[in-house]
Amino acid sequence: MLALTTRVLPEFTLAIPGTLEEAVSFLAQHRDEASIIAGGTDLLIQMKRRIRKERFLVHIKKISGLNHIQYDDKNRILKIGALTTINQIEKSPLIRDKFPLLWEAAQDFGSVQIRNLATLGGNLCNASPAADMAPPLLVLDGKVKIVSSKGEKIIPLEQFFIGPGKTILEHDDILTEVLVEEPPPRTGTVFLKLAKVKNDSAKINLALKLTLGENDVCKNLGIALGAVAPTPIRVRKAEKKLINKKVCEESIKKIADISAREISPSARERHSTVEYRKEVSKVLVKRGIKTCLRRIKQ
Amino acid sequence: MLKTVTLSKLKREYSVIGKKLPKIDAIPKVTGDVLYIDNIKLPDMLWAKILRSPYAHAKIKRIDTSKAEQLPGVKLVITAKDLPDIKIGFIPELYDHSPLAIDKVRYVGDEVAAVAAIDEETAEKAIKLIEVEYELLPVVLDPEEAMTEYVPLIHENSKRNIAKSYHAEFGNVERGFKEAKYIFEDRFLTTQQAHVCLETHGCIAKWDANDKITLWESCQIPHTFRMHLANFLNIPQGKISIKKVTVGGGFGSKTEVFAYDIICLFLAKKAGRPVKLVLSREEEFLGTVTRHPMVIEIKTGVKGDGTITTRYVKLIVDTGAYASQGPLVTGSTAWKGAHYYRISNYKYDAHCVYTNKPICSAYRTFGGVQITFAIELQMDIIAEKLGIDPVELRLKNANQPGDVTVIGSEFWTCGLKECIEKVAEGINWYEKKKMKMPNRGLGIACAFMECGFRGFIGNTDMSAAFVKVNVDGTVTVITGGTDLGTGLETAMAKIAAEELGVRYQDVTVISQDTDVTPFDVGEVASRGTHFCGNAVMAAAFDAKKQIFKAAAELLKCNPLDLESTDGKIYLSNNPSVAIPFSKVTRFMQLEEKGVPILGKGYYAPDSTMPDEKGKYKPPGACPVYTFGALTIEVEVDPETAEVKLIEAICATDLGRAINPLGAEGQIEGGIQHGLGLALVEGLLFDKEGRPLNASLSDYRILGAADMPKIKPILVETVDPKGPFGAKGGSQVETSAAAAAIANAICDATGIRFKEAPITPEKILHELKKKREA
Amino acid sequence: MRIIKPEMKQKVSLKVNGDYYTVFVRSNKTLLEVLSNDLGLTGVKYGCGTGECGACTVLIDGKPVSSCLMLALDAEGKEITTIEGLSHGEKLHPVQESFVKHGAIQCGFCTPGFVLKAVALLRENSHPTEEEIRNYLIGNLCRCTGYAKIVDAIMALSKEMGGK
Repeated sequence: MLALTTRVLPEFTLAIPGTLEEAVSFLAQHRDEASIIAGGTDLLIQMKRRIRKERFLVHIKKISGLNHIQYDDKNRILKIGALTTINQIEKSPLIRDKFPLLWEAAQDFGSVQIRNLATLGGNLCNASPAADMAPPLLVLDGKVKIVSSKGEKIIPLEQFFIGPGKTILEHDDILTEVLVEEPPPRTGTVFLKLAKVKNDSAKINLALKLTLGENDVCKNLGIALGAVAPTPIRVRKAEKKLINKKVCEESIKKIADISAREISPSARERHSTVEYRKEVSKVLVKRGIKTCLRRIKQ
Repeated sequence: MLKTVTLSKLKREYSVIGKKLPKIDAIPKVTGDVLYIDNIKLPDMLWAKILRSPYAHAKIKRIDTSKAEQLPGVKLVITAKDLPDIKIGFIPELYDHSPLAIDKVRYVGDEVAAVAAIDEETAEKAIKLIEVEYELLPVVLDPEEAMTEYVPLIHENSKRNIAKSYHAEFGNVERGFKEAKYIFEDRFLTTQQAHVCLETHGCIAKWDANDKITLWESCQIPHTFRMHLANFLNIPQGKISIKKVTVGGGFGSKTEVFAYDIICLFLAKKAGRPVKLVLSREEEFLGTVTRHPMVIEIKTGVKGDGTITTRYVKLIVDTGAYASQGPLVTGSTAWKGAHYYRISNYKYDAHCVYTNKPICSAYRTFGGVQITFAIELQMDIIAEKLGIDPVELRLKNANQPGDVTVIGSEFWTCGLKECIEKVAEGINWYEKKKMKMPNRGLGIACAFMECGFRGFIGNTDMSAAFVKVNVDGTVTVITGGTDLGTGLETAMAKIAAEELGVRYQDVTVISQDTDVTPFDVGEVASRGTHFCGNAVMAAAFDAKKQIFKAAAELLKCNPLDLESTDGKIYLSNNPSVAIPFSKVTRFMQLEEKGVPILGKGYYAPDSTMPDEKGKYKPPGACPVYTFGALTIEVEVDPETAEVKLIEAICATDLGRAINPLGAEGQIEGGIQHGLGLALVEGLLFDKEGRPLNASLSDYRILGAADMPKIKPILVETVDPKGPFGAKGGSQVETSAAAAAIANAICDATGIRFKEAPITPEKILHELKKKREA
Repeated sequence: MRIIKPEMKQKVSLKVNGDYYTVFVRSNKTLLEVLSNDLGLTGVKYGCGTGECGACTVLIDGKPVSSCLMLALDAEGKEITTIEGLSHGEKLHPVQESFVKHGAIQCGFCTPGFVLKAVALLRENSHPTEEEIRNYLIGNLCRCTGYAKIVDAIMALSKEMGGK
């Protein structure tokens, strides 16, 4: 059947729980016939296209405690509620000041109209390999809090994505919060994205974090790439190569080359080629490191 | 009554012509007050949905509509057996399209069945309940392959999948090539661009028990549409009323009767209720029309000094699954090739070929962007080989006023040279070329376009108009032309106001109803301003004659001594002797006479049809012709090959800008289409002919943050044949943009691409090869 | 916990352009459908249904939102502004006036979306640069104007409000 309609949504039962417990139990009851609807900017499109056919949608926007941007001073941890919109992230002075990488990614995310609806939780749970908020959170060693009938757990975001559109979430799991530790001083970050036109999903996106130690030697390097593998990924092998070394043209080139070898862009992608994305991944890593250096010096 | 314009009438300053005034429809549009198809509801209306083929080429073995029929709220389900034997198309010998597929489907999107239900949601559910059994057939996607011997036929009665071929020769190309010092042979490819009008297609059909048809349609050519529909249905035109609703973008995509029109009409007839259909965005890509992908092979003969003398063009035009306007576009593209530069020998072989892809038809430039892409890219190849600057080469060969082309077209006015000079100056061509900034490139291209075209609907190309002057001196212009947002109604109001001597604000324009308006071919080939404008001017002149006769009675003078401006009629040699326009009109219609004031006028130009050899007597297929040139500067990132569009300068010779803001807007808008074709657009299909990017999330067009700064320049050559000198001019910029950007990318990277779109992927691939070599 | 079955119509009060309207909607109705079909507002339109074209843009509490991706039920309790809510009687909003004056309107289909976007932009940033304007307009497509005079119209207002 050729899905040619985006004028009308298919029918569904809308459940509006008042608490997380109610939501979890509804999801447990209906299993794969039910999904959470947050901002709706991915889910509703997929339902209009009949790619997703859930009979039950669980509306969680009325549940309190899921929309916040808080900074825990003592532990230097940022907590973002899953229902926080991308626009709220973009406009938060706290995030702009302490986590400019997230602000940079939020700015480039879709359009204003989408940012006002789309949620951080939704972007992560949709698990597109090109998800724009994923590389920044990965590179900041982000964690996600998941609530289910079994209780609550916190896992690293790096374990969250398991395939294109797939996460470790089970039927009654709800992602409630994202936690990010503030990077140490002398850390520069950058978010870069290449797309066909300015409002398009990424051909490749990159988040990079560089921490310098004594004598300007690299203390820590994080590189996360999106749209070039089945999930957004950290290129760990490349990252290791700079630890305790000085940042120079030669080391940068080596890291860029290794990063390119660690990614595996899909040949089925229509809007770019494997060759192109491998080539420009090196360019983005190189430019990313240089930009971070510059930002540290400022 | 044909109005002849004397040269003395062509002044430089007018009351409203050429002035920057707000468009007539600006305020309703900016307040959301206008009605498009989707906004219109009729009492007792049903919603239609169409079931479309998921396969590119297949036999229909069985259709079972029973489940759909039983769904509550569904009133009708129809397939081909429920329609009379109708075939639609655009050219009489190629009516090859059954509105609902009879025995086979020919592209993904082909209409197979249709439903009418009480609401859209029910109709949507119903089509999913229709079961169709297909037997797959081999798929043909490449037009050159489609023409070879053992490939399956998409239409059984065509030879080698060719819908139509055109051949002609003018002058002697063999001798021309022999005498040329240099010969250039190049092959170019362009892709299947989609119009992406913001408003999707749709209609509301009503067919009452009296056999009277009313069709509300987003349509560029209401009268031609009605004529074709009458022909297909075998119903007199007088029983068909086309209500042209506000059009949300056309660009050529709304210039024919579609299968969905026939489907909705028969649903309406059988149901005895009005039926509405609005296409989804995905259906818009597949179920309407697109731009013809083309293979263009050009052989050009050039003298030692850079004079271009001889051209041979071979065209393979991919028209998709049904012919539609394909043969016309093919013929027109071949015809256009004769007009670029002052060649004395021209030959073409052009084939319009079927493939199992969505239908291709009219799209802004009607083949111009494809042929310009080829010719203008080759011009730069020629310039490079001969060591001549690309601007200089074009200036050297530019068409000039008075030229009669080898095919017989005559250019009374031609501002091509001025256009080239202005765009070169505007972008600072020579200085920047000398500076040679790294990663930057400059490109130039020229373009040509018809204005009207005799042969589009047979041996006619005309417009007619009425000008009704009301009791209080306000004016209603009644034109068969169509405003697509292009500003036609505004231009007609201005022309009527200027000719009659009334205020622009006192003129309204009616164009929406074929029951009321006189016949007009419609908005195609940039003909609106010139053709409708001349008709309106003639009608206004006719009304003015009647009014001046009465005014002369009241002022006791000779009507030939009168003039009117701004609502006042006065003696031209003694303006203090005056009378308000409204006083005369009231006098005529109420007080003494009771005589309605209706001016009628038409414009039937002296354009000609070709002889059997394809040659025209001057002026050729059009009364006037338009020209343009565009320069563009780009910056190509050497590592990511991303192309940054810095600035574009575009000059078009449009005769006279009746509506300067509108004319500039046409240039700026057309450039977006041309750049889109050259850089990012194009429908893609897999091996089975299934679309890969038929949605706005995958098919991308340039947005506000992608477009360059544009400087539009209006070159007014003031053609005596046009209303106040106006020709046309909203397509040359599209053609020139696509070619100029390709030339600019070559200037920046040293790589000459001959296929559109030119993507960073392709550029980086070539740059890598170059570096490794 | 409220459970709304597909066939159940919910009574919803929508505040649109300052007035309260009571509509009865099913769960799968988007705000776009309710505004255009139920309330007959002609300025908000279907262009793609997937949030790409911007023709369905409305302001929710002053912020631009794709109404084709918002459930009508979610719009309760919010201030919804459509193009119809911008002008007051015969007085146009300055953005509307600027669009008319600068020739920024051709077929008009995209116009309400762009105007509302511009209104939101200028509230947030009263003198944006051209680059900021073009970036803000991402998500609104136009096939007629090349965006040139739309940007001109907004730039002119920006200058009037003290920008560069």
